[in-house]
Amino acid sequence: MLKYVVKRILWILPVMIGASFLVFALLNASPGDPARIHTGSDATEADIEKFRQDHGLDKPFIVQYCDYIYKVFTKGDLGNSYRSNTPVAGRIAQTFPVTLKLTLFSMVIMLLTGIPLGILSALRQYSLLDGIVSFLGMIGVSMPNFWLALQLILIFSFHLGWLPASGSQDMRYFILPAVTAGIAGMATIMRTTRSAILEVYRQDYIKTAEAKGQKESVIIWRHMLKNASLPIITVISASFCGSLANSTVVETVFSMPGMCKLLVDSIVSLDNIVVMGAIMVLAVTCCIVNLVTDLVFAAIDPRIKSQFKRRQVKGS
Amino acid sequence: MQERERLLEIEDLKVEYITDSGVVHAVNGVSFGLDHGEIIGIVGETGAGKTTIALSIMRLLQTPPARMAGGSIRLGGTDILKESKKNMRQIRGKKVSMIFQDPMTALNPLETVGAQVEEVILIHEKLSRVDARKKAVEILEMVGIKGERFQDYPSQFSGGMKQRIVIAIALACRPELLIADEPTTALDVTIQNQVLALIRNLKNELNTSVILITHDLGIVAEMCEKVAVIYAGEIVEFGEIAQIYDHTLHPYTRGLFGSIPNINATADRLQPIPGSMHDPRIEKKGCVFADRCAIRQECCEKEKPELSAAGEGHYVRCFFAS
Ligand SMILES: Nc1ncnc2c1ncn2[C@@H]1O[C@H](COP(=O)(O)OP(=O)(O)O)[C@@H](O)[C@H]1O
Ligand SMILES: [Mg+2]
Repeated sequence: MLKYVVKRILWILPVMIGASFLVFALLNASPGDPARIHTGSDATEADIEKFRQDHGLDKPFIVQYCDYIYKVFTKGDLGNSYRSNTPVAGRIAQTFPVTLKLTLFSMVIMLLTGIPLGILSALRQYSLLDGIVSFLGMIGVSMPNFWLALQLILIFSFHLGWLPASGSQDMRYFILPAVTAGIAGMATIMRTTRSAILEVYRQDYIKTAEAKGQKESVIIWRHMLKNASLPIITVISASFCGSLANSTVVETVFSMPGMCKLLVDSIVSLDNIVVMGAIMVLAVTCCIVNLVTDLVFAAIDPRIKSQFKRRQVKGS
Repeated sequence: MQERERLLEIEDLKVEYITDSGVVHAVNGVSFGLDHGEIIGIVGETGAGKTTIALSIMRLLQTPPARMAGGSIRLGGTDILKESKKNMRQIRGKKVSMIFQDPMTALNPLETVGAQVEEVILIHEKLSRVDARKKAVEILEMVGIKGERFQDYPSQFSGGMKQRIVIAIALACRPELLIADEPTTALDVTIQNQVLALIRNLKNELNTSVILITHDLGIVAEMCEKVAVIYAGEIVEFGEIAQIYDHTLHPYTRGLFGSIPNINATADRLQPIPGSMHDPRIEKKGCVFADRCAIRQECCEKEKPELSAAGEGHYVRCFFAS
């Protein structure tokens, strides 16, 4: 098992190298010259050249990339912002907690609503409740994020005045953004939970449990939910990464000083080095979430464990 | 043979499935009974209603789509169809157990086989965890699974072994009645015989009554004392093994024998009964088998033959059976 964990962790490395190279190449190939933009309109050619040298932009692309990777791994140095000349790592350390808090908060909303509603509508298939839940789910996935955000701001900030529309000072500021990010994910989780439970419900081992004389509540908790949890966990981990991506929209609409807003702002201002850093942090986060998902899977499902054991026996 | 006490009495059982495309008349007035320690076979092709009868006895049919349209099922003194849900839970696994067709899917893949045997013991017997575990190991060894495999998961067992575990679960609380729904259909032929032998031995050892559902008359001949041949939700012939085999009366039963490969026969092809079962959604006026029957006459299409005695304990539903 330990070997499996180590192997899965080591797998993150090639994934990150591949992802970083791709992003670096795309940023490099994108139109616009950061050096010209960030030195201002009255800069001389010498100023621009100095800026390039300072940020290593005068070197060939592949050398730039290797330098970047080298610094990241040896010093944890993500470079300096083109615009403010402050360390990128510092900017990210300031803003990432906001993004993480927002994502976790929206995950909690998603899970606490999506899973129970999914279970209920599966157990009462074709009932009125099931119909309503399915309908709301459909609305949830098809509603554009920014539009939902604006509606929530209109209702709860302008008309009712209950909640702030922008900022991130305390938890109250996170409610509307988290609800916005949570609703789309909630619909997905709800639908997955419902279909996972319905799928498990038809399985013979549920009949076996009933034939033993087991109580319905025990059958649901012990036999159905555990089996249905595998597809649900997959969707939860996908939703987490989806939520991070959604944060770009949500943080922008609610003007939250998060990393995803930083990312969007930096893309607009051609601050490529910040864009690079922020995307790397997002990628690592998703890798970690996927790693945890795989480990949870291995812990729940003996088929994965035994598969691994068998391979180990063969290998040794 | 000594007189045996009556255990199960099914009378005029009618079960329907309400579907979008109409009402499926799955079981149409089936009656039969079973003594303590007796083993009876239910034979018929796919769709005849065998599983529906079995699930009715367990009260495990999902309603809807299923609907109990009539009849009664008495087990010992209790009327199964009128019992409360709570009482039914005490009957299932304790008085009546059921083995399902496919052992590959009958066990929860995420729990150890030991825990799954233990579960049924803990439901019905007031035992401590330790004692329940001891008993589960005993039962597993009784069906030929080593006790040290208690902590293994279903995926680590072969199909035949899984079916043994399913049998262990079914017999753990020594039920009076075991319903085995095609217990060997999903298994290899060699394994089939092992599993059947196991069921027969345990039946003798524990004095359990057995309803063995199959579509194979060969298996019935080896295992059972009595047979009910069922077609389109009706019993078409019922009797003791010798009667059914030596004095086959119903043309459908004859057809079933015809479809058993015979080593001595010169023909090297099976003789399946021509045609297929009529649509169970349409209620039929005459004999249900008339469409496929070689000896049908005009009256067969118009009038339904009754299940009538053709000998001591031998019944047949045909105007022209002789
Ligand atoms: N859940 C169900 N919904 C609708 N029809 C069903 C259902 N289960 C069984 N049936 C129908 O009832 C009839 C009897 O089925 P079944 O009892 O499974 O037969 P067997 O076990 O002999 O193959 C068949 O026509 C089948 O299509
Ligand atoms: Mg069946």
